[in-house]
Amino acid sequence: MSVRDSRHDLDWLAFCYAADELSPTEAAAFEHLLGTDQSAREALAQAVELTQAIAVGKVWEPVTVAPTAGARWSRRISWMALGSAASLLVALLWSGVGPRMQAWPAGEAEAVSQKGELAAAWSETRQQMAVASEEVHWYPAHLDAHLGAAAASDDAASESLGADVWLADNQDADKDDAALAATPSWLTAAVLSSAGLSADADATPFDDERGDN
Amino acid sequence: MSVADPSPSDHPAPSESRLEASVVAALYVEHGEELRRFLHGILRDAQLTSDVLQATFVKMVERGHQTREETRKAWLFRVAYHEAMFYRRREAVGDKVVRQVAWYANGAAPSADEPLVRFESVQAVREAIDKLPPQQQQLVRMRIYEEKTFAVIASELRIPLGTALARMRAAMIKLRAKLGHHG
Repeated sequence: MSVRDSRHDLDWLAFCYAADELSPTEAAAFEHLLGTDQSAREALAQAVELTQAIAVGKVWEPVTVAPTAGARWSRRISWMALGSAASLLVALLWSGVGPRMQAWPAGEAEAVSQKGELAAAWSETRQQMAVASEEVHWYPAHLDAHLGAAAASDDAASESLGADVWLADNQDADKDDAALAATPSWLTAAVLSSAGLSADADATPFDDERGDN
Repeated sequence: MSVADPSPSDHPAPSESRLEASVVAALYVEHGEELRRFLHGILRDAQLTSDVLQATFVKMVERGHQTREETRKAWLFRVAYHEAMFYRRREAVGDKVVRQVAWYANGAAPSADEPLVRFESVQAVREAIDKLPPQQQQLVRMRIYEEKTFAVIASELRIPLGTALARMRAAMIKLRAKLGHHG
């Protein structure tokens, strides 16, 4: 065995002692060696230094979170897709809806105005009914008739409850604006029906064009 | 104190008076770190290590003048060893529980002014670990970072214990070379 091998053996023995990997007999023998051999003492000091350096210095994989190139590209593509969708939405709103709103005939504009007033009135009624329903947990049958078949479904019931909650939360807001903004489509249809207007009257020119397409 | 003296009188004393404070301070600067690591290897406790280190240099102040200059390092280590064994017996810290090595909790950061390991060593070892083969890296990680015994590591990796030991030993030889002591 060369001097170098012997040195490595001593280093390894010192490491195993420091790591408590020796049996009690082996550990006692090494401690006896420490009492007489300066090389063994220095080997132990170095084993401690090395182990400490490893424990302190190395940041292992679970701690190191470095984004991979694939992850970076994935994130870029996500942002690009989001940007494209937003641009498309803006383009549609800018080029489609604006001009069509301006091109509404006078008669239809009047109908819309009428619908706004009816919606506000309906909303007010719904507010009162909501308070009543909270107290007695019933819902008037005639309202169900206006809601139609969809209103009987769970989805419609949820939507109705959502409208009630919204209205209850916004009692201090301007009633007309709130009613117009919060009026769900099924409510508009019900209002039109009770006012004797056809459902088609609610359609906007945009809907007509969409239907033509 | 009933610590067995390393018989400083075995060596001809160069002086009858005590060592100057500057000489002892220079010895502390030169050997203090290494002594601390050596003591930590025996005691596994930062506070106890500091106490024994202090006691060792007190001995050097009291009796160092009876030693020859060229043997003072070995004398310090010998005194430190006897002091550590005495403390361990007295404090009953030689039991299995205390002997469990807790590199992080105990010795890795004893205090800011008492480092067990130099920053340069940490840097060198960190770079060396990255260059180890994956299997050796895994062993180093499981043994030192996760504090698993070799038996557990061998069991988990489904390799013979000898293979685990061989990988770890090969890794330690490479890493030790980076510390600049030898190799």
